[in-house]
Order: sequence, then structure tokens, then C-alpha cells
Amino acid sequence: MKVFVAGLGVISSIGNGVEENFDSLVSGRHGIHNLSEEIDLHLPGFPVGKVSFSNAQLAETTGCGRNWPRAALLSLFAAKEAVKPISHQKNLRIGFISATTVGGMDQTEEGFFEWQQNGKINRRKFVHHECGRQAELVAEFLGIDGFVTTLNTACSSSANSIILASRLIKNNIVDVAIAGGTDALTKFTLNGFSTLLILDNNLCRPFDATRAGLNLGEGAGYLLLAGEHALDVANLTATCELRGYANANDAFHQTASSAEGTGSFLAMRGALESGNLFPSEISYINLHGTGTTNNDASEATAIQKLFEDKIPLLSSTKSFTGHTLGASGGIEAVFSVLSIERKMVYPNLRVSSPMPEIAAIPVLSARTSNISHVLSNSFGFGGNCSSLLFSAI
Amino acid sequence: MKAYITAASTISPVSVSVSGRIMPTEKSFDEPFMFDELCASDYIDSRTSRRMSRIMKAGLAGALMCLEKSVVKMPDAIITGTGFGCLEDTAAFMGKLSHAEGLFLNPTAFIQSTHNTIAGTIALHLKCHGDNNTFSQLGFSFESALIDTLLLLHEKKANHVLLGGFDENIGFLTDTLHSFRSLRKSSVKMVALGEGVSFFMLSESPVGETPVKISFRSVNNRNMNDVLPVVNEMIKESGEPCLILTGTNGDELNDRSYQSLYDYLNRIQVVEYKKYCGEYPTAPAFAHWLATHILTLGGSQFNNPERILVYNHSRGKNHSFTMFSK
Repeated sequence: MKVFVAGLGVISSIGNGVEENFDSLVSGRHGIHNLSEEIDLHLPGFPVGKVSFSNAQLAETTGCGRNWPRAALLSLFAAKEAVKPISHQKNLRIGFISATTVGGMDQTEEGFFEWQQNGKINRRKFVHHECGRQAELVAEFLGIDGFVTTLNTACSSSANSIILASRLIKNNIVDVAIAGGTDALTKFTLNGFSTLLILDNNLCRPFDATRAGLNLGEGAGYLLLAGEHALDVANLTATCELRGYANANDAFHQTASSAEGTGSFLAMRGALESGNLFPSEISYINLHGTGTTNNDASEATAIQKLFEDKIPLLSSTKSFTGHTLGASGGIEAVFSVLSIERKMVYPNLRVSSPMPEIAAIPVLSARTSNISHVLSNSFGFGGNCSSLLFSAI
Repeated sequence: MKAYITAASTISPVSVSVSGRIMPTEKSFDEPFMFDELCASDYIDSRTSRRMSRIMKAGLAGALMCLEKSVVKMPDAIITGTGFGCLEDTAAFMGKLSHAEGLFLNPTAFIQSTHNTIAGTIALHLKCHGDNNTFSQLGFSFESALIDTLLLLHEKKANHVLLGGFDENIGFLTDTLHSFRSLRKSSVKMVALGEGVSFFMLSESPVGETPVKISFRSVNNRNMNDVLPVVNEMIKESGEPCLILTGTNGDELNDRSYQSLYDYLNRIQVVEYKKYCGEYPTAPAFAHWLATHILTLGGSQFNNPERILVYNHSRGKNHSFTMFSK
């Protein structure tokens, strides 16, 4: 059975909704304007990609009007957009497969600090802590009572949600699924990445030889996936096919990637094999491309080895949005689908010196291109590497 | 969906006698059920384990214990589920944050706080490049991992999958998180909080000395009218269970669904397993270990059942049934 994309939803520092995001991508307009002191006073000077809506605005615009954690609000915004094509359907088995790395941490850390200062536990700050709670809130609000679950494999989380959703459809467990993920900027993650010494004090430069680290971002991105039967039953329009995917583990180090890019290589090759395509048939790779010395070298090495002298067009959209952690797989899946739908390749911002590990330069300005097949990479801590393969139909 | 459990291990509050008898922990009623991770030193050298939290030590050791019992030494995939993740390291990093104010923080706690740390550590230890996933969906975390595992075997993407379910109890934070878990508060009779690590080798064929066959079904919505027909279908397929393990916890609203099953399958032996392991999101993983143990080594304590049905739900949703047979 084939699985198709029939809907999209996204929110990030470059826009609220699909059209704003796409517009920013083709206009070269990044969203990394805010600084870390807005998230943590004690950690100044790091650029971050913050979603423009406040929690109150998100709560109002989605209609939920409640004091949810930011990750749940972002998730609802994007999931609502993705689910529109089936919002009146009654006869479909609908799954909600989400992902997040730190769930309701923005509220938890507030509650924790309050407790440390005055010894009082404000229970309302902890009620939505767990990763799975975000999906539970959103699914209940959207009236989805089918299969709901949450993955957490660090930065590859929402790519793995999309993979699972596809398999649930192919195995006749659900008819359609909203799949992707969400993460919000928190003191916890900002300080965590800072201690790892991989944050750039300036705007990040993925796939540049002199890159100096990543910028954190936030957001949510979801695909509406449907099997062939559901397309007919619900009268949906498929925009492209989720033709292949793979999940592999680098098994090298807790946080660093191997120099050979073993995990990345296995994930990309696995996605090609599952979709029955040769490397030369790929039009564009939406890179994981965080801007860290380690990831980009590892990813570039793996791409060079797999594609040899047929390296496709490349760009990292993290140069626009920052690294949105658990949401990145989902947000970048949306961008990859749009690339096929609208025959557009996005630039990789702020590249001036090519990397020695790869005999190709990323795309420098947005351009139209006949895109047949796109690979979207997501690699995370714990060696978790995933690749998604989307194809024009 | 069907498969075989060909090895199983647990690091949990329960102790097992030489003859396979399950012995409940000696403790007062409201004291939490805690596991003893000292056995981890048999599997992890002290230099490696020195910086690991309790859950990380127990997680890696539990996996290695399972592999020790298994005829399969390298799984094709590693899939785990955890409701709370690595709380000790999460709290440790948050604690340092609130005091640090710009001082240099140690990254170890942050790195180890991520939910997929244990699945990643196991892959690293084994040099296993196969599929690797971690699920965190409250009381459906282990079942989500089980479903992913069964799908991998069914799709022939894997012949053997290492599946784990674990959660830890660190006191204040766990107590606070759990206080929202009961559907209605009736703390006097509720089973105490617990923690535990359970690992399984799931195989598509019955390898090893004592394979146990399992089949699994779940109903995601709250409607009990949809749930009992599923039990009926499982019974038609596998036969009636001789023993049922249920996730009752003393909370009246939670326990109502289990009572519906007792009424439906009257006069069947019941073990309310949380009296051995306590309440935590992946307690169902312990129940799966217990069922496997009873069918392989510990049958005499429970009248040597041929078939066991494990039933759990998570706050009225995700009613999950696993039928175990010899």
C-alpha cells in the first residue's frame, strides 16, 4: 500500500502556518532574531528562533484558550492546520503520532524553581510535564480518540513519528494519521546545549567550513498521511508520496556523530532502498545541517560516500528556523513536501566557504527546479538517525 | 499481532526465590516500591557506571541480563518505552540551573536526561546499528513500544527485537507527577508508587529453551462496549486464559474497568500485579515479565496456568490485552 501526504501544518520562527513559512523560505527571510536572554536572563547573547506568537496568542488563535505548556499550544496550532482536509470526516480511523524532547518543560522548570525558592509545590506547573501529555491534550481537543502516541528520540523524534504513522496505515491499524512533532524553547534546553559548547553566538552557518555551532529554535510541524483507500473515502488530494524511510543507530557516542557518518549513511541508504531508488534519482536533500562542527562534517561525509559524483541539491533550512529539536523532523518534512509541490529549492543561508568533506556547495539562492524525489534527514543524540523519502506523484 | 518472548529480565522491587517463587517486598503500605540496582555492577564496569543515574544503570543492566538469557546476542532493533524518562538527571540539571546563574554547568546530567538515553546507551554498548525508538505516552508507553516491536517482526524488518519498559521514582518530583494520575483521589487504599526495568527479546519464531507465544490487541477509546468483544476474539483464537494479571491500583474509578473483565470471565484466577511492583507508567512491562516468568519458571505458585491474559488501561483509555501461552 502506498502512503500519501494530504495535508500540512507548521509553525516556526519564520511563520505561523504553511504560507508564511513558504514565503519566508523563498524570500530568504530567516527567523533567528531573538536573543537567549528572553528565555533565560542568565544566559545572554545566543541567537534563537522564537515563534512570534505568545502563549496567550496561541491559546486564542487555536481556540483552546487554556494555560497549556507552550509545546502543546504549538502542537495544536500546527496539527489543526494539518487536519483541516479531514475535519468533518466521521468514518476514518484517525491516529495522532506526535513527538517532543522536553514536553511541558517550560512550566515544569518554573514550578521547580519556585519550589526551590519557597518550598511550595505549585501543582499546576507540573500537571502537563510529560512528553505524552502534549499529544493527549491536543488529541482530546481535536476529538481524536484513535491511536495516540509520542516518540522521543531527541532530534530525530518527529521523523520517527512520520515513519511509525506510515507503518500504522500500511498495516491497517489506522486509515489516516497526523504525524510530526513539537518543541518549545526552555531554560532547560538552552542551558543544556550551552554546556555542550555547541551554540553559536552569531547566526548559525550550516555546511560552511568555518561554522561555529547551532542556534536553537522552536515550533511544530505535522503531515496528514493517508493510505490509498482513505484518499477515496474522504475525497482527499494527495500532493506527494511518502515513498521510503529508514531508522538507524550510529552507535558511536551519546551525543557526537562518528566521523564516517555511519548512522547518517545507513539512514539515507535505507530510505533509498525502501523506496527502491538509486542515489542519482534524488533531486534535493533537506539536510539535518545544524551548523555544529561535528554534525555537518559527519553528514557531509555520509552524503559524499553515498552519492559520490551525483550529489543532489542540498540545503539546511535550520539556517532559517534554527534547530527546533523534537519538531525539526516534522517541520522539515513539511518544507520537503512543499519543495515537491511547488517545485522550489530553498537556499542554505550564510554559506561562504565550502566544506572539504563534500564535493558540492549548498544551494545559495531559492530557485525553481523540477523536484521528483526529496530526502529529509534528522539525526539526534543517542545515535538516532532517520531519513524520509518523499516523491512527486 | 503475534510473536514469541524468547528471553525476559526484570530489575524490580520483587525478589524471586531459587525455586522461582515470587516474594513480595517487605515494606509498609505507603512506602514506595524501589528496585535495587546493585546487580548492575555484574554487568557494567565501575568506571562506566560511576556517572550513571540509577535508571541508566538498571536500564543497561536489565538489557544485558536479558541478552545473557537469550540465544540471540545481537538484536535487529532496540525499542523502549518510558513514561517519565530519566527523572534523576532531569532534576539534577534543573537543580544546578537554578543555582548556577551563569556558572559553568556539567553537561552529563543534561545528556543523560533525554528519554532515549537508555536505548542509545544499549545500542552503543552492543554496537547495534538497527532501528532504535523510544516512546513516551504516559501509561501507554510500554504498549506503544510493544506495538512498534510487533510491527517490525510482522513486516520482517527484524527477526529479533530487544524491547524494554522502565520508569524510576525519585521522590518529590515523582510524587507530584503521580498526584494527577488517579482519575479520582482515594489515596488511603491506593497502591504505593513504584519503579522498575523490564526487558524482553521478542522473536518472530520460537527460538531458545522456553519461548512463550504472545498475541496483543488494544482498544484506544474509553468505550467498554468496544473492549469486551476484543477479549472474546482473543479467547476464540488462543483459548480461555487460566490466570489474568490486571493493573488495579486501589483507585475506584480506575479499577472499574477491571471489574468489568472479572464479571465477564468469572471464576478465573486473578493476580493484581501492582501489589508486587507498585504504580508507575510502565508497570505493564513488569506484568509482561511476570506472565513470562509464571509460564517458564514460576508456575507452581499460581497453579501452573497454560495461558495468561495481561490487561491494562491508562486512565480509561488504551485498553491493552496480551495473551501469553506456552
